[in-house]
Amino acid sequence: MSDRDPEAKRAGGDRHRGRVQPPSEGARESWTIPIEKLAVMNRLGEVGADGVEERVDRLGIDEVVSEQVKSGYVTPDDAHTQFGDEDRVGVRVRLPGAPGGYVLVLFDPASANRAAAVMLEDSDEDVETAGEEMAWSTIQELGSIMSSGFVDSWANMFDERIDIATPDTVSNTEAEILRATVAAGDDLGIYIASQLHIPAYDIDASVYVLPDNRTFLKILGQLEVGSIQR
Amino acid sequence: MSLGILIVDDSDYMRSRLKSALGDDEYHVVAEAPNGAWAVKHYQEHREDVDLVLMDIVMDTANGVKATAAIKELDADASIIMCTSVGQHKKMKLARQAGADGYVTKPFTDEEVATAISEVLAAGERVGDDAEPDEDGDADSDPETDAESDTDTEAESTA
Repeated sequence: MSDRDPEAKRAGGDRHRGRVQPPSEGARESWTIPIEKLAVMNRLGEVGADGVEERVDRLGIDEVVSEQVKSGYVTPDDAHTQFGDEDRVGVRVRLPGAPGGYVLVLFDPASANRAAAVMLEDSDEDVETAGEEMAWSTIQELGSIMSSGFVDSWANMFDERIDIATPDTVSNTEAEILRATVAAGDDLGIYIASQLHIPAYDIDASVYVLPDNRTFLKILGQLEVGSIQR
Repeated sequence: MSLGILIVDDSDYMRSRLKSALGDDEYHVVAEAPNGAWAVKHYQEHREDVDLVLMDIVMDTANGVKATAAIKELDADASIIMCTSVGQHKKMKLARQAGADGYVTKPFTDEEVATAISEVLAAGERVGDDAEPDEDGDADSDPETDAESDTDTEAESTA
């Protein structure tokens, strides 16, 4: 698979391009997450991961194991210290309304190829002869399904509507994709990451949610951990 | 008789997946539309060939909800099933309000697609039985079954 995301490709040549302006003192203060809200963040991550797991389960490709890996805050400058330099392919989905930001679904290339092969078996295409375009389209669709699983679980839990844009494919190192994504927004940095594993096919995927900081903090402020039902 | 299906999805993979789910026996794909605007234009020009539309929601050029509303405006009797990765209750409600007759969440099985099509077409026939003939006289209504009134099915027709 080739690099299909111009933004990520450009960013790959200069790891420190597209720096965001540091927040003002006032804004920085507003980004503080009360420690008791970390449990709420974790619970939100678990709810989202459950949504992804449920959706992938419906593909009928055997057991799916999901776990939340980490949540935190990343700037374009420190993306390369927080995330790995292994190659990843997947999709980036913009959330045009609240909570804003992006969802990333990333696979290591071998997992992406195996996932595409599994999905193509259910299509009209011949797995052996399907071209690169079809392979990318398959990964794009799988990424769309997985990101929708995460977002839908939040939307249904809050009884709200969360709009999603059409997914863009991405291909670069994990750190560079995260860096470019954070740099693409005005107010991004908070992230929740989940890991997904499908043992039968040895497929690994990671889902990252990077909501708009202020919107997400407002949501966090309104939630107690006990009020979030999985 | 094989039913004509219009597939509307911006994903090459998903259009191929839907064709596989439909098979060759009961259905034939009359056209594959990569976006909502294309679908509305095709429906406008070839509506006599289309028995049912399978419509994605998230698409760049005229999303599925807008395209559904536009097709329903052209033809209130059009049968449209949303076939989408979006599983949000409020989005489903929005799709129903736009006129969608059924809803299938991706990923789906072949059986789920077939069941949704059967239910929507059956509900459409029951509703159609109560309909007045079109201006050209060849309405969806069947004179032989017009007497079999069944007025309470329309609200249940959304899967």
